[in-house]
Formats: sequence, structure tokens, C-alpha cells
Amino acid sequence: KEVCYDNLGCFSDAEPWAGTAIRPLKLLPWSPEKINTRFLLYTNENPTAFQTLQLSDPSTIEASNFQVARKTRFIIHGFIDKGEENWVVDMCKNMFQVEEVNCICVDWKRGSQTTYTQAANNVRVVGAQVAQMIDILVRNFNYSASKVHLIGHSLGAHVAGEAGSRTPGLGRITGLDPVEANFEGTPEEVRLDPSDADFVDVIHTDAAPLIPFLGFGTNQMVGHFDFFPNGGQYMPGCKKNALSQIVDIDGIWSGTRDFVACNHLRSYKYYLESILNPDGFAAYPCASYRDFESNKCFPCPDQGCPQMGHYADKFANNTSVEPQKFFLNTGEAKNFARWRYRVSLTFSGRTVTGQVKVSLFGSNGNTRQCDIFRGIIKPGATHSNEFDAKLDVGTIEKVKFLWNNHVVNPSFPKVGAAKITVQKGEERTEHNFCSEETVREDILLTLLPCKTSDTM
Amino acid sequence: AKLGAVYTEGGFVEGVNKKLSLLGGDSVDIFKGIPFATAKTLENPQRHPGWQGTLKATNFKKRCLQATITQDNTYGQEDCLYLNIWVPQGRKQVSHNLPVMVWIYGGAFLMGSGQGANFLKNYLYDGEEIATRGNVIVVTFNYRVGPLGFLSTGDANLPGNFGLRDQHMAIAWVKRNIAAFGGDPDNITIFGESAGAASVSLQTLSPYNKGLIRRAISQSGMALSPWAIQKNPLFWAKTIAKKVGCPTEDTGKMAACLKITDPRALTLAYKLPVKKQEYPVVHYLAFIPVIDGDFIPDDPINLYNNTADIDYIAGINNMDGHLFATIDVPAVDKTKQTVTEEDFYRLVSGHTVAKGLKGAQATFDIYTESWAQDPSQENMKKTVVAFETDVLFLIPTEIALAQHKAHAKSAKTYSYLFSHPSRMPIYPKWMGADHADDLQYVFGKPFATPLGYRPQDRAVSKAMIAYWTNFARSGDPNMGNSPVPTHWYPYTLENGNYLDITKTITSASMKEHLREKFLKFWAVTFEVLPTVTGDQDTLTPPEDDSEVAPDPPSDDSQVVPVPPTDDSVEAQMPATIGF
Repeated sequence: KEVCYDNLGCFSDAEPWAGTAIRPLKLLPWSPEKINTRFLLYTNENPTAFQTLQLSDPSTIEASNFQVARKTRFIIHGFIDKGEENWVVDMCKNMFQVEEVNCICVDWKRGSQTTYTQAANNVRVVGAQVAQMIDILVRNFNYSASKVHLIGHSLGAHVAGEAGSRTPGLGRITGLDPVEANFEGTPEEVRLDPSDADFVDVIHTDAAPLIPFLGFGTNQMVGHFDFFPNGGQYMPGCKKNALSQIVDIDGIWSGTRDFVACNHLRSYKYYLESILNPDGFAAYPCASYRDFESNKCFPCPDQGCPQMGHYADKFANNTSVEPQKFFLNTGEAKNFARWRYRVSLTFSGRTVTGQVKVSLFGSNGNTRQCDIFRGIIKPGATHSNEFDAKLDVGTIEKVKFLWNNHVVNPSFPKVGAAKITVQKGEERTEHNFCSEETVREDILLTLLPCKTSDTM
Repeated sequence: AKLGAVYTEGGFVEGVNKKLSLLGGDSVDIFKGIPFATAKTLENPQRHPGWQGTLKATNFKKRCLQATITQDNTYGQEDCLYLNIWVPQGRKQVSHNLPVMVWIYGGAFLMGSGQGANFLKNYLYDGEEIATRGNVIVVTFNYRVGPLGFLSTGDANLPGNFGLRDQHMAIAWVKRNIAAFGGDPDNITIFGESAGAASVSLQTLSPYNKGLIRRAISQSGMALSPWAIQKNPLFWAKTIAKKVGCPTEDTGKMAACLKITDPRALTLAYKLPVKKQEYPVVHYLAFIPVIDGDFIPDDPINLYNNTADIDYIAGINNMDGHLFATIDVPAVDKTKQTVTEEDFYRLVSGHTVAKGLKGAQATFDIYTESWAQDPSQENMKKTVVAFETDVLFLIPTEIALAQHKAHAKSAKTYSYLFSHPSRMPIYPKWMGADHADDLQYVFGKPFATPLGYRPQDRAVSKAMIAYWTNFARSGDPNMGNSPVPTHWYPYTLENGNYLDITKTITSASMKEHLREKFLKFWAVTFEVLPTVTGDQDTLTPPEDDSEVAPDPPSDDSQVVPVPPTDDSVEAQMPATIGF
């Protein structure tokens, strides 16, 4: 069985769309009229009042503030969501702060607020409609598909994939935690995949298996770049108890939604913040999150680290035949951006058992004290560790060292750091700080840049 | 007897039959939410395409998209052109050939709905009491308001008057379909209050309604009112366009852009200032009808030939201007604040701009004559209210009555003054009938919700319904279905007969020469003064940059919980609010 819609083609319920282990139910997508997809344009000229573009009436594009000289980014919501949700409009507003862009919210709420399986099938029609809109831009306005960027969350990511597979020369797709159910493990024509655009980047935030962990997003690598913040499965800050999570956020609805799907929704929150933080989401190529956490993937390779989110396409030329995996850590709450530093420390003074913390002071501010080492502090020994700072401290001016062991030491031992080497993740340069002093526990030791003679 | 399913041009529609008592056979058929037209954003309405099957017309539809009372959000919806019908029924056979009364609500062309404010599930504009007491069919309907109803560039690109055309579509629908409900399509009376009253007046003047309207009633509003016609629509259109990011240099491009802009953003791009404005608030009523050369082909004063055969009742409330006075001179309602000569002079200047200094001085002098003998604050405050009542309501109504009478062929002319004092406890003790105080009596609230009303209030309500429905039936408020307390004589040019409607209506209630001194002043003395600004088109209230339009709020409330299917929650507001 199949249905056909004007300008969109035909949609069947044969394999691989239905009747398979992954997609067992035979369902056909709804008609465009029933889904009632809307294309809501925001631009720098009308950042808060959308203009409605109609596929059936290209003169609405002409009447609008759409500019052919600008890039166009489509933002596509997922299951249950709708195009006027705050996050969708906030995406546009953040973009207007950094660029001049045509920002089109694709509102398909009628097609998404139904049973999941039906919504998953409606994806095909919405994707075809997005492709049709791009086609109108190309044919009627001499617009280049390479200037189009589709950003889809959850089911919206697969809408983008469908649109991309129908649009030759599409510039970019960003998948924000593409949904797992009905899509993971399907052939490329069904789901988002690297062939859908010149550059496909994906952020995974809820990649734990749906059963039994209720992870909504896919673990499958479906882009040129697949980013796995915090490992891609559990986002920090998402394990608060239900009550605090609900009360924290304005309104019962928002709170409940955030609690139930917190990991899943983080993907668009990271993207949202990445727009205003061009260097706060550096991601490290790595074989696994375990390796990343074991500090085996530091610093960035010679060609640098891509930024997860809005600026990922600056590395688009580095795509390879093999899909690439990237890892990074984020914060627990708003202001998720983090800057990764490695600290290498050589002890001096007495031998003691204890723990060692370091904080960095720079031109832009300072970090909190970060744990570097626990165990036997032995003079002359060198230890390294990495941590994620809440800010980019800028040019590092000094380093502060602190140790303690919470054991009564009648002899009041003193420990120092003869040398601390600091390296920022995206840089090759190592910065050295030296001190000849030693301190008792819980006393801060300040290390200043080493004198030239000390490094000889 | 009841109607059951009725066949209309759009298809079958079925309402609800409501029994009026346990024993008697009388009932009323009620239809809520029948579509009469469709419209796209900022475009003229079109005939409704109809529907399949039988439409269940059992719930009021949402009001037209408009700003909430605080003007920081919207409610209602854009798909809003629906009407409601009440048909009284006797025991034995369905009603046939009944007179039809079509209500047009007010709200400064900025707000309002066909069912009106809700109070304990009783809607202000519920037609049941009028229908059953007067044995007439009552129709109410929604029309577009605010920028979506009246935004105009003053040229063919955005002609405006969309709300007026919606009203016309409703009237025309009634003409074509009301016979199926038991109505007489050749006996249609339109009636309305405030902006609805001005709309009634405008509809009688428009050539589009030729042959559609038999009679009309205007309560506190007139086409000639200074708040009924916008003379500089382009200024306000540009204000909206700037707010929503549309071009302003070319009206063609501006119009095309506005038509595709989020209707909620258009609605919220305008705010009526109610504090600290530089001019009287009437100057800020931006989105009101315009002379578009088509629906309203000329200045209303030149269109009274079109009313030659339309019977007319027009009147005002004796303190209609109080609502405006409290905004323009807030001290009016504050016992411990005083109104000063400077306050009043500034108010007068704001209303006499066209005639400049001489106009202001002459007006100030005639209104403050009584201050020498009675310098009390009460008298001064009453003067402020009287002035606003005269300028905004009384004088335009008197002039219109004279015009209607002068151009009448078969038409009758009647005039009234509603002076039953307001019952708002916060008002000063000298308070008369404020704007919109008449609504509850016309719609029979002392009978529908008797708690809180006194026998004298029921007497007023009974009398008004009797006069209004008799007039709708016969063209003479004294002849028809209901007895009336005294004979209401027609208006004449010689003595300006009017009926004073208050708790006791006797032969002494017929009065003459209403505020004759002030009427002569405005109609003659003021008019002959030289106009100083060329014309009023050049008067442009300053743009207030401090009022940044808020972002259209996210409509999360529609996700959980599911909103009610009627306006019962959104429309909660005091019954007396209304322009």
C-alpha cells in the first residue's frame, strides 16, 4: 500500500519503512494538510515576530525578510514539541547575535503530537516538505542548497535526514540527539546518515539503550562527526530528584518535561549555548569515553579540535571516509561550556600521603581548585591530570597549589611544587610555573612563571 | 416545538433546545458557533465554504485574536468568524417570520466577543432574555478587532475596515439564512453599544448593506464620534510595521510583509496607553474604521442619504464620558485629589486641537461658567465628565439624529438618554450611568442573574427590552409584543424629543432640548471658528519609544492543561468593562 501527495511523491508501507523488526507496524504518513506544517521565518529584522512562508505561495517568500545573500538555517522540533517552543525561537535569537541569517522554524506540531509510531512515519512527509521549500528557494530565488543548514532535534533530526536525502548539494545537517526507536539500525534511506548533506554533525546525549534505561537517543554513529558529550548517555545535572527538578524550572509542564527527558533535551541546550560560545565546546577525537576520561586523548591533534554545536562546520574539511567520534565534558546546568586543561606537577619537600589541588589564575579570571592527585606525594615525582574549567582563564599568570591529608602531623611537614606545567586543550604550548618554596597543608603556594634559567 | 437540524447555505447545523420552565411548553433553540465567513490575515472576509454532515453548534467559539486586558498577551484565535442564534419557541409549532435582532459588541474596536464577558457561566451578551421576553430572534457574532481588524495604510494595499466587513458578512448571512430558523429576512434590526454602536451607524451608512437592514439601534456610539474614524491610518500602520520588522517606505511591500507576519505579533505590537499619555486617550485609539472609498465611501456626515428608509433609535448614557475621564483626568474618581483649572484646560485643549487657542478658550469658558457660583470639587469633576460625555458621545449622537431625521423618507427617528445610576460601589456618590452600564439591562441580567439586583433594576430592564423588541418588530417602540410604561414620541428637529430611561418611566420621562446650550455651541459657535491646522490629519500623537513590544510569549499553556473549549476562563472580566 502507498499514498501519494502532490509535489512530494509517494510513500509506501513496504520494507524498510514498515514490516521489519525495527519498524514492525504498517503505518502510512498523514497528508500534508493534516500535518499542517508551517515554515516560520525569523530574521535579524524581525527577531521576535515570525513571518509565515507557504509552499503553495512562493510570493510569501518574496514578501518576507528572507535574504538570498544570507545563510538559511531550518530548526526542526521533535516528538510532542512544536515550532513556537521557546528553545526553537531562542536558537534564532542567539544566532542573530552572531550572524545575519534566515532562521526558519519548521512547526509540524500536529504531526508530532500523536502516537510515536505515527509521528515517526509523518517524518517522511515533513522531510519532503522541507526539501520542497529548499527546492523553491533554489529554483525561484537562485539560492544555493550549500547555504542551507538543517538543525533537527529527536525526530526532527530524521526529518532533516529525509529532507537531506531529497536535496542534492545540501550544505549541512545537525542532528540533536536523533531518536533511537524506529530508526537505529535501519538502512540509510530511513534515517539520518552522512550522505544526507555535505557535512553532518550529530550530538548524542541520551544514547543509553531505550530498554531498560529509557534512553531516547540513538547510540549509532550517523554523521561525519558524532559528538558524545559526557559520554553521550547521562548528562551531569540530570539526576536530581524529581521534585527539585520540577520546582526548579518555571511551570509544572516545563519541569515535568525536563525531568522525564532531561538527557534527551540537553542536546539542543548545548547547541543553543554553543552559538554564543565559539570556543567553549572543544571536542576531542577519541576511541571511547573511557579513554577520554583516562586522559589519553589530550591535547587536540595538529589539525585542532572541532567545536561541538554551531561552529562544528569549521572543521567540515576534515571529514574522512570513516565517521569520527568526539568527546568532551560539560557543566551540570546553564552555562554548560567547559575548557579543558592538563596540569603536570613535580613535587618537592617531604614525602607524605595526601591530596593535591591546583587553581589557575589568568587574564580572564580564575578556576576553582581542581583535584590533581591523591596518594603518596614524593619529592621529585611528576603527576598529570586533566580538568574542565568553567571559563577560559586566558593568559595564565599564576598557579596556586594546595595540599592536605586531614591527618594530624606532629612534625608539620611541608610540601611544594617545584614546577607545574599547564597546557590548554586546543594549544600545543606548555606554560611552566616554578617555586622553590614549600608549605604546610592547607596553605596556598603561589607559583609564578619560571625564570629562563630555571628551565635550562 | 423545536427546530432540530436546520439547513443553511453551509450545510446542516444543530443546536440545543432549552426548556424555559418545568410546566410550560415554551423553550428557546440556541445555536452557538455557526461559521458565517472565513478570512486570511489582513484580508477581506470570504464566504464560508461549508462543511460535511451536521455541524453541532453547541459551544461558543473563541473570540477573535486580541490583546488581554493587561496587553501583555493575546487570547482568542484568528479563525473566529462565527455567530450565535437564539430562537424563542412556543409549545405547538415552530416560530415563523419573527423579527431578527443582530448584536454588534463594543470594545473600542480593540477587544470584545459575540458572547461577551463571562460571569458564573452567564455571558453578558446571552440573547435568551431578549429573545424570550420580546419574542424575537437574537443573533450575536464575532468580528476582527485591533490591528487584525482595522490596520490600514490608507490606500488599496491595505484598505482596512476588515472588522466592518466581517460585520457586514454576518448581516448578509442572516439575510440569506435566518428564514430557515424562523426569522423574517426583511425585518432585521442591528443593534450595538460603544464601538458596536458606531459600527451599527457605519453599517447603515455603507452602500454594502443596501436592502439588508430594516432598523438600527445605537447605544452610546456613532459614526460621527471622534473615536469612530481614523484619519491618519498610515502613521499607525508604520508603527506596527517597525515593531514587527516590516519595511515602511513602500505600502505595497509593507502590506505583503504584514500579511505573512505572526498575527499575535501584530496584535501585541500596539498598546493603548492608559497612563500618563500626553493627549486624551481618544487620540490613541489607533485601529478603528477608515474612509476607504469603498465600504465607507465618504465622510460619514455625507452618507445619510443611505439611511432614508432605516428606522433608528440612538441614545447615550448620561455619564458615558466617565470611563474616558478617569483615564484623562484620574483625579475625577479620587475623593482626596482635586481637579484644577489647569487640568481641565489641558483636557479641553486636547479635544479642540483643530481650532487652536481660540477653540480651547471658547470651550473652556462655556464649560466653566457654572464654576463661579459653585466652585466645589464635585461640580468641577462633574464638569470634566460632562465635557467628555458631550464631546465623545452626546454631540455626535445629537448631530446624527438630526441628520437621520433630515434625510428620512419612510424612516422613524427615536432618541433616549439612559440615566439609571451606576451601581459600582467604588464610584463617587454623584455618579450617573457610566459607559456600558446599559448593557446589563438590555440583556436582561436583572432577570437572568437576579441576585444583586433590585426590583427597580428589573423595571428598567423590562422596559428597555420591551422598547427595543417592539421597535425591532414594528419600527415603533410602543407597538409590538410587550407593553411599555409610557409612550415614546419620535425625535423631531424642532424640539429634539428624547426618552429619559431610569427607574421610574412616566409621561414626564419624555423630555426635550437635551443640553441645548452646549449643542448649539458645538454645532455652530465652535464650527465657525477658524481651523488652525489645515485639517486634523496633521495631528499625530507622539510615538512612545519607551513602550517596547514584548516578545510574543510562548504558548505553553496549550500543552498542559488542555484549554477549555469556550471563553469561560479567558474572558473573565468585570461586566462593565467595555468601550
